[in-house]
Amino acid sequence: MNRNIVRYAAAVLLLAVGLLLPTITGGGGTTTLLEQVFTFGAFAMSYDLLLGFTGIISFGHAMFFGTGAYIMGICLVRGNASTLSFVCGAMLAVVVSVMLSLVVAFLSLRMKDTYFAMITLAVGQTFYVLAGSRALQPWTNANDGITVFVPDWLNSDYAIYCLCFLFCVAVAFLLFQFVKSPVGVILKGIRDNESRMVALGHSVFRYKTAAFVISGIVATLAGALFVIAEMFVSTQVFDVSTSINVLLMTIIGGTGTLFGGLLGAAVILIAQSEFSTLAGTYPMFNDYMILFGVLYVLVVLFLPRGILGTILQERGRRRWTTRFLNSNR
Amino acid sequence: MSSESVALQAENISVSYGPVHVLKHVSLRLMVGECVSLIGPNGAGKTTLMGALSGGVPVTGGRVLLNGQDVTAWRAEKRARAGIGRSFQTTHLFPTLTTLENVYLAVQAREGTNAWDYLRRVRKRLLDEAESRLEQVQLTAHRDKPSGTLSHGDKRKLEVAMLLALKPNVLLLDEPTAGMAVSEVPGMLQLIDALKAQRAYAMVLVEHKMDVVMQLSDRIVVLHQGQVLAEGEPDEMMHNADVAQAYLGGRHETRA
Repeated sequence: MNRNIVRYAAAVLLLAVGLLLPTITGGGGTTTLLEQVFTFGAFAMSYDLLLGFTGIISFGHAMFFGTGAYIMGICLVRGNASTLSFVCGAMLAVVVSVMLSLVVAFLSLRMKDTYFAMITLAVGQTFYVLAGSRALQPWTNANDGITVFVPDWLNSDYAIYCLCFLFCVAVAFLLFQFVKSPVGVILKGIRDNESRMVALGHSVFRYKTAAFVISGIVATLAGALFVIAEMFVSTQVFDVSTSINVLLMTIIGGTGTLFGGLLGAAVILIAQSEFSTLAGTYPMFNDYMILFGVLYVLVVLFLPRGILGTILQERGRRRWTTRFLNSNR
Repeated sequence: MSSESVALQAENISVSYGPVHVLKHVSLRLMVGECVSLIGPNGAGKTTLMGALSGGVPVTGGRVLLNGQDVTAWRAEKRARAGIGRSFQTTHLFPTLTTLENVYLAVQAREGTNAWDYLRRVRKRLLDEAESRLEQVQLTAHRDKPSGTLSHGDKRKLEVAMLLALKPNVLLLDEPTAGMAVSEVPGMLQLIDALKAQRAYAMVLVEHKMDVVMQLSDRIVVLHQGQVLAEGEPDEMMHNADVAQAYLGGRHETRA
């Protein structure tokens, strides 16, 4: 009972700090950075549902993120940035993501890991090419990208920040409930030992598809918010580097920890922005990607469970030791 | 159900991997309450036959009947839900999940899951059942440990708990004592014997330890090079010249 009160208090406090954060850090660039952290954080958490919980590696998760960004961008442009176009964009994003993920799932989820990864890579690249194609220029503006305007009520740094933050909190909460649910245990079972799940009588394909669809919906919505935060969308959102980035965010934060994705997104995006600033004074930091390479190698070598994964492991170990000591007393 | 009814029947099962014919027209009939052992030298097709029965291995010819129903086209998960429970040669668990979660997954597989169950607090009942299954095999103390950290014998016990949680009527036991310490074998035998005594299960046992086979089987089927070489009561089989020759090697005639 007491513990629950502490938990609720902590949650409310975190929420309040989160909402007031821009007023502490000051607006402008920092707020934009935080918006990126929260949209990419949601994106990475959706990816962890596949990688960390179901054991599926996708190299094309950017197809969802990009699709969401483009749908929202096009809707806002066509609808003259009205509230209705925002709502339509969000709803359309969900509908399209469900269809897209079902198609990709049926094409590829029965395959073994590597083949699945290859198919997602191929489909993801198709979207990259489509978004930059001349034929679709009236819609996508080809390689020039789309500049987006947002509805009036969203037209301030703080409003957009709140939207991104609350979206990320909602995603974290819902996905956490999901992975704790009986279906979450099934997904972890698939990750651990797929053939045994089949032998027990679970419809593995159905659960994998469900995980893929849910992950796709979240990633698509994250993309839709990303375009609002950036007020611009280009083919970059479909690029392989976006898929790889989200993979690395998840790994650095800790696969199978859910919130690790958010942590990883924060680490990578803040580091990127800091390095870019440094590059202004010290040109050698222009090549910060090399440092990232070193960072990834170090994480994989010394923290294979990622940041949050290692913390949780240590905590678990301590709990076990204390329980063991107490029972021996 | 009378003890005379057929639980599982294989008719002319053939399995080929390309040009390699692993099983050639194998037929097997399994009564309710009966324990049939499959024996034969390595590569005879014992595990493949288990796979063909459980649905893990696609057959290239023949039929599999479960309680008189043709299940040949059913995938493994559907056959499992229909009552074919299978244990594996090597331990085959969910290593990062806790011991309790392992059993829980089995209970849940049997019950099926749909979204409404979570609202109806079905989960609590399933968890309680998983707990009691753990108690049956005396693993309650390890319920929150990742199953990958259990000792080999405990893993085997956990396998049995998971298998029974499925409430199957056919048990396919693939070397249940493989890799066990000598001291652990009698416990497993007692467990299987107790299951046999209930007369509710039809069992197929693949085993290399002949004393285990002799103690548990009602009937022995000898597989050799993908064909049934001989079939009969344990004593009869022990004195069968064909069988001896197949095990010792050399030329022989196979019986179709």
